[in-house]
Amino acid sequence: MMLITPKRGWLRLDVREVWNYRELLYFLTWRDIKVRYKQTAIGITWAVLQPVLTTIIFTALFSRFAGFETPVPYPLFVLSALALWLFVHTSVTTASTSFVNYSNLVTKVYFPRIIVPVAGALASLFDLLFSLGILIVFMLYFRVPPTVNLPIALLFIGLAFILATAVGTLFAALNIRFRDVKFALPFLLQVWMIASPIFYPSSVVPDKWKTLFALNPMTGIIEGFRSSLFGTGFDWQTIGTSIVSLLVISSVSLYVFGLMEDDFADVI
Amino acid sequence: MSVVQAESLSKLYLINDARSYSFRDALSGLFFRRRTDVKRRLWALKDIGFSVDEGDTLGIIGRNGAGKSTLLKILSRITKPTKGSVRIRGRVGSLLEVGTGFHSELSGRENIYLNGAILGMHRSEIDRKFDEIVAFSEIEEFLDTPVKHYSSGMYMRLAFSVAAHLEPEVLMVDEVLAVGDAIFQNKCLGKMDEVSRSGRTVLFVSHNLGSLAQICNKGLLLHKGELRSFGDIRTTIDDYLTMSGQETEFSIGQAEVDPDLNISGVRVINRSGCVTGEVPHDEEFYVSIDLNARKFRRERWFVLRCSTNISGACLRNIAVSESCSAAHRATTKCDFAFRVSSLRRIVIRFLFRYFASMAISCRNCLISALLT
Repeated sequence: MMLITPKRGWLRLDVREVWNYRELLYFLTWRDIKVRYKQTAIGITWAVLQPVLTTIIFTALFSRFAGFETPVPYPLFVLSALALWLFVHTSVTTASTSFVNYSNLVTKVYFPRIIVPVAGALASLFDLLFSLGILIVFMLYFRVPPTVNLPIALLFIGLAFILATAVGTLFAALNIRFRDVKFALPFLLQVWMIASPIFYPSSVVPDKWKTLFALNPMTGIIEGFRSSLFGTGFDWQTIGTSIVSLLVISSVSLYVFGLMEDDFADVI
Repeated sequence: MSVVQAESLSKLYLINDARSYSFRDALSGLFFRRRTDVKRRLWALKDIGFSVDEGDTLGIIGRNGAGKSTLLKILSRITKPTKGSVRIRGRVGSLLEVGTGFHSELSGRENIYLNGAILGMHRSEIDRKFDEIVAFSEIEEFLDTPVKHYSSGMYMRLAFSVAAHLEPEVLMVDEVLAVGDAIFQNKCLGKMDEVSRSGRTVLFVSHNLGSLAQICNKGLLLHKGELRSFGDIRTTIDDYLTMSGQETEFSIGQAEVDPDLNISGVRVINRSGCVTGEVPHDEEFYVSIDLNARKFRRERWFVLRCSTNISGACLRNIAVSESCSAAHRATTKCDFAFRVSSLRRIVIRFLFRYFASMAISCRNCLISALLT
């Protein structure tokens, strides 16, 4: 028995409903991956080139002149953060346009709408695999042995996925209602990248700004990821702050999404 | 037992006449009163209530903009009603478009799985029906070709056969039959007939009154968002025709003529044998055609097809074929029995098939008698 009524209010993600549609999630993710790598012959090359080239550029720019103190060689240091950042960047970008790309689906078929941005983020995980492969090559090359902390890296990849999905979902929803979001997003992502400890270590941030800095969830995620890769001590205070901030962002995202979800088919 | 029950269903659309809304507008709207805030209120549905029983086939009729599609969208949960509620018992499959979610870069095989999942089929279900779907669509040899290389006919066949194998308890179909050729449409209709005969419930939006009358047992007439009539399909179709002033009218127009043939007269004859200009909807009538032929060396067969043209959608309604031997005669007269439900304008096309002994037609000529 199914009951259809007017708006059901906000913030009620029906987990069971999403679970029922898990196969659709799988197929949409699969379609995203397949199409991405089918269309462009250089699809996979691109997934490899992007992190490598960016690492080379950052190394050329910062390793000599800025003289950051890093626990491991600078290219490895940059790449470890770039792997996660490029994943977040790609999935937020993909997810934000996902509803517009899938508008024929949204207006013709019912399914829990949240599946669309989540599928976008999941498909980007595929790119992350390549980045992680390169990261392993770099670690071998620079002879940085993994430590017992290595499995904890998975936790931070998981957090990065949650962050990417939350932000992607938020922008996907906003993008439907406000068509200028797509112009603002590249700029926001650029600011976000600079505000994250990607090409510089967190230690350059003065102590009084530390908490503010950690409010960017990317900070804790990158720091934690690096610590688990390179065996340096975990800064749990930063990581904790980032996780709290991540939870807040995810809730806001779900709230905004819930507010707009019911109207998607009408507004799109 | 009622499978679909709608109570005072209403849907309001706010139409913003101004340019598209931007985030900047939303921000400035917090501080300034917006000048662009002119919204038109449009009730796409007003207080609709009805119930459909198990095994019923409901035809939803109405002119463009009557709210038919909105109703189906609400019933299939694509959009939410503004007021009212609907209760639905059982799994719903809705087919508002053929080929939703098809991706041109993917192969036929991949699209079957993708489209099946989008329509709500489980993977195991698709696996089980896969061969059947492929056989129905007749595209076996192109199964691994990207669908962008398909002809539009192949594309439609594939898309429809996926949809046809969806087996929900409640099936909703929106005008998908308006596309595709006559054979495809018949295939669709046949499949829908089969679905409803198997005891499942079908809700069907269409402008094709002929196929509605053929398939449905119940009808629902919408007009500008309001429920005009609900009940037996024939009553509903009659109401619709009365409402839209679409009593069937005939007058004989210009006939296009083949050099060897010409039509000297076309008459519409009603059931009691009188020449008439008007035929009540759904009553049998005859069309009598006088032909003058210059030379009839061999036997000719006349096949008369009737197409209806209603609400802009030209659909072949009923194809009555009748043969007439006219050998060694200069003038001939053929009568064709007709039964056409609900039409405003009929285009009658004569398709002359010229059979030279055993060989298949060597020439077709088309003559249109326009009855407006």
